[in-house]
Amino acid sequence: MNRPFAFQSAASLVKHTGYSADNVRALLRGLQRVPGSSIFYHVHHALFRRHFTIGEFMNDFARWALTALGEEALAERLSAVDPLHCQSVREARNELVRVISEQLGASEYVAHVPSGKRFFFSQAQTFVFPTGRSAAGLREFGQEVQRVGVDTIFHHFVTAPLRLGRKDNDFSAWLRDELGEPDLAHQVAELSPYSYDLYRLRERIGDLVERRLH
Amino acid sequence: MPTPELIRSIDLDAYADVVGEEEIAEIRRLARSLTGARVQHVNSTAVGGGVAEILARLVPLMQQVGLDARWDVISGSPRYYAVTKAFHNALHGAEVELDAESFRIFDENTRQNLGIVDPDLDFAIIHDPQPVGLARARNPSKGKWIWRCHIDLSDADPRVWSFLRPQVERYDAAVFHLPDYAQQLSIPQLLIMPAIDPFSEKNLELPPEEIARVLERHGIDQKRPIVLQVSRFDRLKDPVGVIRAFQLARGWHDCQLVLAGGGADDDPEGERVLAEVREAAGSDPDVHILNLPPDAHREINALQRGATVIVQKSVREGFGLVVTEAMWKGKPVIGGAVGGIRRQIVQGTTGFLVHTVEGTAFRIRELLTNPGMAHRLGENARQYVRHNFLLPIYLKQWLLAMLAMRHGERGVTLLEE
Repeated sequence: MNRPFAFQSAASLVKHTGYSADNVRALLRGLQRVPGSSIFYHVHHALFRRHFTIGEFMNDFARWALTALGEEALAERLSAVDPLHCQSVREARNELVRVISEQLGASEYVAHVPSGKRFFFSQAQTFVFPTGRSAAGLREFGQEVQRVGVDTIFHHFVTAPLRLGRKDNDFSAWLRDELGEPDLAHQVAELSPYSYDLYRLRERIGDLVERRLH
Repeated sequence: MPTPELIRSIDLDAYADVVGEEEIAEIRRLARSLTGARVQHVNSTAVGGGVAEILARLVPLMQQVGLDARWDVISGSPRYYAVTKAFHNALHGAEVELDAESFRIFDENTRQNLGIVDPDLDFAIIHDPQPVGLARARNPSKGKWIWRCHIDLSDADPRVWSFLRPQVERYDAAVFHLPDYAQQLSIPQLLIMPAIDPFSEKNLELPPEEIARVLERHGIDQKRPIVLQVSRFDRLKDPVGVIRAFQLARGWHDCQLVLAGGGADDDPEGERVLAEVREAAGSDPDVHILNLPPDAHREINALQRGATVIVQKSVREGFGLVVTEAMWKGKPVIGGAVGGIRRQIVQGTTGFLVHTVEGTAFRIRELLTNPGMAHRLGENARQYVRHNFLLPIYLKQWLLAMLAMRHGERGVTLLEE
């Protein structure tokens, strides 16, 4: 008997960490000291705000480097840090720290931005809760995944695997382990909320299931 | 509790048409963990101003999701309100005359209102500086107290803030619109951006005939593009800069400018700014300056819906809900790159951010020349507001704030069925 997939959702409250930066060295210091939930929030901010155009899927650190510091090369390198490639927040933090440290090198002078352009480190406090929806088989899963909110998609695709330090998203893990659908699981794992957006990602998962059923 | 006619009760389920059924279902699920919680909001006015407007809508929604929510208003003498007005201006960075007597009047008024808060409540949500002192009567072992600051404290007068800060630190948490407004405080600081109600007079859909009637009444040509700024006649909104930008843009594109606002009738500064605006406009028949009453919500709504491009060229701004309103109407917005406008406009995606008159003129020209681009930005803007700045999302954020108070500082909390 398969274990049914229980759809959960997550909602986050944003908090001020007390850390801010007005230059790249202060940004580095903040990155080294803020709680992991702050790194998580800023690398995925676009998804928290449900941005819907790919052009804005840059993490907050890269965007600040570009728009406030005018450091285009740094912005490009920071935006190349793929949060979905990192299996933990620590890994993402280390990668961001490495990029900025390399950029800083031994330079003594760093440009400061005016007070209106400071970077404020925020953090997310997340609450996970059951949606009341579940699926026992593939057909039901295909129907339910189209009905859940996009926060549910974000939770199962990004937050939960990261929290549990797992490479697979929840959907792929369930499709493979419970339904014995390794190919479909792989196809779903290849999708990315950063290539589409959460709404289209939801559609794409539904389409893949639909195709498998027919 | 303010009188029932002030409370705008709209069925939460009606918002499903706007934010989606699943969003409303999730809000109800989240609220289950708080069922029956006694919540009391306190502010300083039942009518007028953004805080009363949002509470009139938020409190009934809290009740609908199972909270025992109420709203109370402190009382005060005219002298007290004169002091709080001075405090308000000082917290916004203005130079004001304050003496020991001002602080005594404030304290005395707080003392007279201490009984207003229900001692058995689960959550007290106290809005803005006027009632902040009420926390002095709290029982620290009972209920959670949250101070909600609706104003920009980034340039606050140190005398006033150092007087208020110890009172704020009696709370369990403070809530600000933006991280830029957060302060050095010993308590957690939560960030909740404000929201608009899509069903309010300011934002509800209007029939095209009504929009046409409003434009006609003000002598605005409906066949030519309309550039609009809605704001008080206040230098911080730079209405003269908007006229200069319009004059530059018109060199390339035939259009009209509408400056719609109010606040000039009972405010000497507003009168002066209005006079400057009229002087800058001269006898130009394509500049329409509309000094509207404060309750002209539907008329403003019609003007926004009739506009081709909406400008909010503020040089300082708290959050800028007028930008949110314009974005919700699917309009391309050009906003000054300050305060909350920077949080709403994603450059080139949900609108344009500008720093100068010339930049504003360039973007007006660009949008009037490229209707496709204007349409795309407007559509993105509407979606962005739908997902982030509508009343049900605001309700959800408050539920999360209360849950955070209950569950403490954990990064992730699992709420059981």
